Amino acid sequence: METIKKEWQAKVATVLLIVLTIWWRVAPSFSPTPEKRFLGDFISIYVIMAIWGMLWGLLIAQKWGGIHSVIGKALLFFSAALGGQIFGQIAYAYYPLILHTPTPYPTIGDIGYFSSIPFSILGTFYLAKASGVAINLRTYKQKIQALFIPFIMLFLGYLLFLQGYKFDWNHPASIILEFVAPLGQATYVSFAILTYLLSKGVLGGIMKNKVIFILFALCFQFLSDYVFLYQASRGTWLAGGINDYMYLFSYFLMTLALLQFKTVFDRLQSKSP
Amino acid sequence: MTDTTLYSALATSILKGQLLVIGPLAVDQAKMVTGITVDSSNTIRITGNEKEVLTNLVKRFERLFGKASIEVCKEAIKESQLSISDKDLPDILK
Repeated sequence: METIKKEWQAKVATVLLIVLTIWWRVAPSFSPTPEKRFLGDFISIYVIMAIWGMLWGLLIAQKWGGIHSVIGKALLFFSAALGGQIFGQIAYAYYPLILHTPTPYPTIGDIGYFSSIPFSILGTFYLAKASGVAINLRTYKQKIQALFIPFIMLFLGYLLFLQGYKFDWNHPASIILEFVAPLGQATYVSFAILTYLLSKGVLGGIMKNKVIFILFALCFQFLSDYVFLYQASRGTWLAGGINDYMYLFSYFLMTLALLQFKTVFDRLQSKSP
Repeated sequence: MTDTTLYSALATSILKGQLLVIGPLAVDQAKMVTGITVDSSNTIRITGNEKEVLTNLVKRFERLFGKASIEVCKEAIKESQLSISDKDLPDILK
């Protein structure tokens, strides 16, 4: 991939992924519990990938005009979504690592995790805008598609995780996290799929693959979120398990997706007429 | 309005439309098109074959997002409310 070849920031992210993968895979052999590793705790350390991605995402967004341009806004919101994950990860690690107490639920960290949902939705909205989705939304068939896909995703989300959910109005924060969050996640991935489908035949040029890659990163983030919900609902989720590794990989994908915009920016600026 | 002024105004509208999508990179891209100069207020002045220069400007942006970029250019012209006959409009913008 061009970005990994050209950008030292992408090389750092790749090395980080390799080192953390080895640590995740090999370290449990030396530790009696899967979540406790030498050099610290895997689940508290891999957030470094999201931090790396967010910092560069914010800087690259400024190059593209920041809040003054559609692409700048898309990159800012995707970086903010990583920021939400970072806040959640750090807040969750604070209790066991600093206070030496189990993390309560819900906690302030859940605000961070939850905030990444609207940020991802907004990022996808602006990416769709730049990709010419509105042009294809002029036909009746595609308007139906635009309603149908989110509906199906929301229905699947409800069917898999929320059927029979008992509302405890004494704990409204828990309702938001357990009921609204899966539907919000279904919404952002629906927008990502719609952006892909509705930009067909309109989106081209050198940005096409960059946009598709960012949509793929979002789909992988969604998969990580749903595996978490699935495992948590069945009591099979393990700290430092496969789901934590999936989150690491999804942060890596989003970091690369954001760095691609630097590669394109630099290439466009250096090309002569 | 002379031809040069009209085409320059059309190009300026396109540039402003693209600025909203890709930010300051739009100015750099416009400056790379032969026959175009951009001043500090992002106003374009065209010299040479105006129709051809305008076509090249749109093609420059087309390289980024393909047809989606052309649509942004068309929309910018529509919003500028500048009147130009179909004959004088470059084919890429029809």
